[in-house]
Amino acid sequence: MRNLVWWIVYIVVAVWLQKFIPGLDALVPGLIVCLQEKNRQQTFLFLLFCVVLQEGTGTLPFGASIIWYGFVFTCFYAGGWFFMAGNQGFVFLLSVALAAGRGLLFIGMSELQQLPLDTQVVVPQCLAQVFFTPIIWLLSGASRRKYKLQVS
Amino acid sequence: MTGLEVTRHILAPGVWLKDQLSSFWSDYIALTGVASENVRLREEIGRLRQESDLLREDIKELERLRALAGIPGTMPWEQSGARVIAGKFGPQAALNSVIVNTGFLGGATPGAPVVTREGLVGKVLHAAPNSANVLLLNDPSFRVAVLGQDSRVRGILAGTGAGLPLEVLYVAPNSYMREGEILICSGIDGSAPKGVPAARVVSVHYDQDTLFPQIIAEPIALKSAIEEVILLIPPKGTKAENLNFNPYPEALPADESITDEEAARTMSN
Repeated sequence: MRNLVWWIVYIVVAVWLQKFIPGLDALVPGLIVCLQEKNRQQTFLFLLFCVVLQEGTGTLPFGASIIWYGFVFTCFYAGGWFFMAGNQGFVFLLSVALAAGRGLLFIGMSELQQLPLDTQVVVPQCLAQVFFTPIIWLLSGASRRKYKLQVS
Repeated sequence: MTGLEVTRHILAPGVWLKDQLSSFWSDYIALTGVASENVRLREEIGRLRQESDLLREDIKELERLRALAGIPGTMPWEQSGARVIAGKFGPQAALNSVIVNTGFLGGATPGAPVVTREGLVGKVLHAAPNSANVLLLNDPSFRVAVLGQDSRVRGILAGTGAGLPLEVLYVAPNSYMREGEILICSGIDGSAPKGVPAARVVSVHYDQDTLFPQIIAEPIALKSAIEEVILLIPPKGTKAENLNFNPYPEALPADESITDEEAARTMSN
């Protein structure tokens, strides 16, 4: 029950963060937490929520979120072969890779749909992703440790 | 759509609380200058009443003349107020857009024009039951047919990006559009009622190397962050009611896409 409440609070805070920081995916750090805790049910449900929320609010046609979160999974598991997945350095490197991937995905999807690309918007959004992902992940991990909510 | 609804319900309590606090502050605490503002507003009401009496006469005359000439009048568009609850939201927000707290249950159908008291702001992109995504006028994929208020020259108003000026495309080369002129929606594409102010011409540059003049304009209503908007609901049985707005060009059927030459021919006619 406490775990469910924690996730509800996390989602509310993440949505408000996304309101104030345009282009930020504040749900990705939560997904990293899920992957690190290795709880399949929790990861699946949270991933489903992330896809539904980002697809619904986004302005790219259906599918961009699935590619985006697929990229998060790929980076996490590929990075896990070389680094300790719970390490702070790993999360920072992961957030850099995610930001780069996000920029490429954005460019690719815009090209496919013949949308004019505004680089002045994309670059700051990628930088915000690099900056905020480790911070949100650190705070989330700390609060889960404090309330002894880690599943694995 | 579900994502829009979830976001709306998460943001709504905070937006409501902010509104309550700011209205409490402005209505009960920050009351300095209210008396002088009252006097000024009373004077303005008197002036507007006079103006409205004169205009009412003009409207009656216009109706009589229309009836004489057999010209049908314009059908009124319904209005529905909405509050902006978020700006560009999330990682999939590729277009310049805002989220409003009125959805298709409140009349926000895709393509419906969104205005403020000053003028056009954008169009509804997609809608959930109680919330909708609005594509803003300055987005590079935004297009609306416009008309110079004084010159009556037609063109297509196009966004170029956030914080950048707008462009007026396909204006006939032999036409005269002056700087400072207000561009209003022409209503020819059925996407907005005729007469809604959309932009003001900033510069007009005629170049011998290009077919069309380069006209730069600035939005009238989209100068600062918008908080409240009005959704215009097309009257029943009009072309606009069946408008299926799609910002993605490749999704249009091939026979509906137009070339630059065709557009130029249409605009010059």
